[in-house]
Amino acid sequence: MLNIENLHATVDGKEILKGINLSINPGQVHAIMGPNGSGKSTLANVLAGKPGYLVTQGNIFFKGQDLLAMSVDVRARNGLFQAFQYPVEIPGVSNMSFLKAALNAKRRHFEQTEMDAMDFLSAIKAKARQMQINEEMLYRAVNEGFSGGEKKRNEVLQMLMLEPCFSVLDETDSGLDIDALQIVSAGVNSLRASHRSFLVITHYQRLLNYIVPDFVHVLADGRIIKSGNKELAQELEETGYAGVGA
Amino acid sequence: MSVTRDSTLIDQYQMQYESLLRSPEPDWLKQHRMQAFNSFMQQGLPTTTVENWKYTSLRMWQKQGFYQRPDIDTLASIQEIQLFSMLDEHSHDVVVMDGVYRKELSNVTFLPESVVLCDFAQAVQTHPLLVKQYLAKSFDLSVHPFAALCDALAQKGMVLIIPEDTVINEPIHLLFATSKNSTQCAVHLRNLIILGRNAKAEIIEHYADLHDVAYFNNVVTEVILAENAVLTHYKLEQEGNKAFHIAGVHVQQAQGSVFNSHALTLSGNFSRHDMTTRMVAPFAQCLFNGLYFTHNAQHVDYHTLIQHEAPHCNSTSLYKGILADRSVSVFNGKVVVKSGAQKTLSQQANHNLLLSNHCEANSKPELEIYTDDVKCAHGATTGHLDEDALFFLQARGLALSKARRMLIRAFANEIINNMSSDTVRRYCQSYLEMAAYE
Repeated sequence: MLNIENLHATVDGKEILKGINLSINPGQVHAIMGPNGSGKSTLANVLAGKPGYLVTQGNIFFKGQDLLAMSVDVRARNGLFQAFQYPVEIPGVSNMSFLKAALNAKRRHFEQTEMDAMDFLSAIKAKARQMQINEEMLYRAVNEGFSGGEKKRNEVLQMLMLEPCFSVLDETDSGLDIDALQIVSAGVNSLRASHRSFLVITHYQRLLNYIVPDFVHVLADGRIIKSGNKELAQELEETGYAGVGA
Repeated sequence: MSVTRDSTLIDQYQMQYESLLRSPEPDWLKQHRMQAFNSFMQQGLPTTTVENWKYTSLRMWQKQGFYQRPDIDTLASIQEIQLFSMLDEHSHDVVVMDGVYRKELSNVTFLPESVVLCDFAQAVQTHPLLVKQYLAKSFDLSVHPFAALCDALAQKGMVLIIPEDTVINEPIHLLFATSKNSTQCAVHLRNLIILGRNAKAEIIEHYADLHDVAYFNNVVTEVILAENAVLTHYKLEQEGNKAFHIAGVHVQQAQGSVFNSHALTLSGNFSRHDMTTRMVAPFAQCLFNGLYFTHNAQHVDYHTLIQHEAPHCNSTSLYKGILADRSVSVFNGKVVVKSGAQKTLSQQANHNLLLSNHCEANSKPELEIYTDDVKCAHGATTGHLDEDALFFLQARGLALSKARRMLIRAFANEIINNMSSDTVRRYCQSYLEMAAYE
C-alpha cells in the first residue's frame, strides 16, 4: 500500500524528517508515537502534500506509484485521506455540498457515475447517525461553530463517505472526551478491511486501546528509532519516550 | 473644487442643452434643466483631486468623448433580449432599447390599471404635477455632476408610479438594453419611481449590452417612498466590456418606509455608482446589499450615502467585492446620523477578496454622528482566498480550480442569498456561474 524510503523533508529550511523508512501493507494499522517535535505531523503533511513541506531526499510509493509526483487532489482521489489535527472552518460552504463535490470528484476519477442526490442524502444521513452528528450540522458551513469534538467526528464522517484505502489520522484523539473517543474509534474501526490501511499518529496509548494497531513505531528527531507490536505502546506508557532512548 | 474643462465635449453637451431649451417642453422643466446645467457647469468634470473621485479617474471616459445620441430604429428584436429576460409567468418585463421604451417587446399586462408606467417624456405630459413635485428633490444636484448633466439633458428613462395601498407581488423587470445603435453614444436616462402610502413593489433595474460596443449610460434613478411603502430595488449591471456606466440611485424615505437595495456589478468596463438615501421620518429602514466581481482592467466605484435624519431608523449595509486580474474597485460608504436622529441603528461592512496580485480594492467606510443614543458599527476587510481552506478542499479530492470556485461562490453567496426574489436570485446565480467564476 505505502512504501516510504529514506524520506528527508524540511520546513522553512529546517530538516525535520531525517531518513524515514516505513512499509505499510494492505489491511494493516500502523501507529506512530513520539515526543513533541519529533516530526509526526510533518510526516502526515508530507504524505498529504501540504505546501511548505519540502521533500529533499527519498521516495514514497503509494499503491506502487510515485506519490510525490501527484498533486494534493490527485493523491486524495487515489484514496489517500488525512484526518486533520486542526480541521479548518470554511464559512459559506455547506458540509453537505462540499462532501458531495468531493465524493463525485473521486467517483469521476475512477470513471464511475456521479452519485445522485437521493442516494447521497441517504448515505450521508446514515453515516452521520453512526458518528452521532446532528443532521442539522450537515447543512451548516464546514466546521463553522463546531466544537473540537464535533470537528473530529466530522473528519471521520468525511472518511466514512470517501472510503479511502489509506488514511492518516493526525492526533485525531487530541481534545476528545472519552465518549467522543469511542465514537471516533468505532467509526475508524468500521472501515477496517483487508484492502485498507491506516497510519495512526498519537501521543497517547489510550487511543490504541480502541484502534488496535498491528505495528507501533517510535519517531524521535525525524527517524523511527524503534518498532514493535501493540505491546510497545504499553511499554511507552510505562517508561515514557526516554525509556526507549528518545 | 478642481475642475477640468474638456471644451469640445462640454460644448457638445451645451449645444444639446440649448436645443432642449428651444423645444416645446414645459417651462418648469426648462427651468429645472437650466438649474441642472448650471450646476453641472459649476462642478465641471471631477478630477481625482476631488475627494469623492479620488480613486476614480475620468481620463478613459473623456478620451472616448461620448456625446452623440443613438439613432433610433427598431432593429433589435425579441430574440436579442431573450438572454436577459427574467420573464417567468409572473413577472413584468419592460424593455427599453437604447433609451427608447419598446412597448411591443414588453409585457406589462399583469400590472394593475392604477399603476402608471411610461417613459419620462410622456410622464411630463400626463403627470406634470407629480414629476415637478419630486424631480431632484431627494438629493443634491450640486454634489453630483453627472446627475446634474443627466437632468439637464435626459428625455428618456422610465417613470413608475404605484398608488397608495397597491401591492405588486411579482417583480417588475426594467431591462435597459443597449444595441449597436449606441456605439460611441451617450444615453441619459432619468428614472422616477414613486410609491404611495402602503404600496409595495419589487423593481429590477437591469442594464445589459447586446453587441459589445463602447457607449455611455448616464442614469439617475430617483425613488420616493411615502409612509410605510416598501420597495425592493435590484440594480443589475450586466454591461458590456467596453461600456461606461455612471449612475445614481437617490431615495427619499417617509415614515415607516422600507428600502431594500441589491446592487450587482458583474461586468462592464467602467462604472461609478452613487447610491443615497435620506430617511427623513422615524421608523424608516434600509438595506444596502451589493456585490461587485471585476475582471481584466475593469473599474468599479460604489459610493453609498445613508442619511439618518429622524429617530428610530435602521440601516444595514453590506458590500462585497471580488477582484480578478488588474481590476480596481472603490467602495466609499458613508453613514450620517444627523442631530435629532436618536435611537439610530446602523451597521456597515465592506469585504474584498483579491484573486490576483495586480488588482486594487479601495475601501473607505465612514461614519458621522451628530447626536447621542445611537448604535452604529462599521468595518472593512481585504484579503486573499484562505490557503488552509484551499488545501483542505484539495486534500479531499477537489481540483484547485474547483476549490477556488467553491470558496469564491461561498463569499459571493452571502450577498446573493440576501436577495428576496427567487427569480432574481436564480438569475444572478446562473449568471455568476456562467460568466464570473471561470
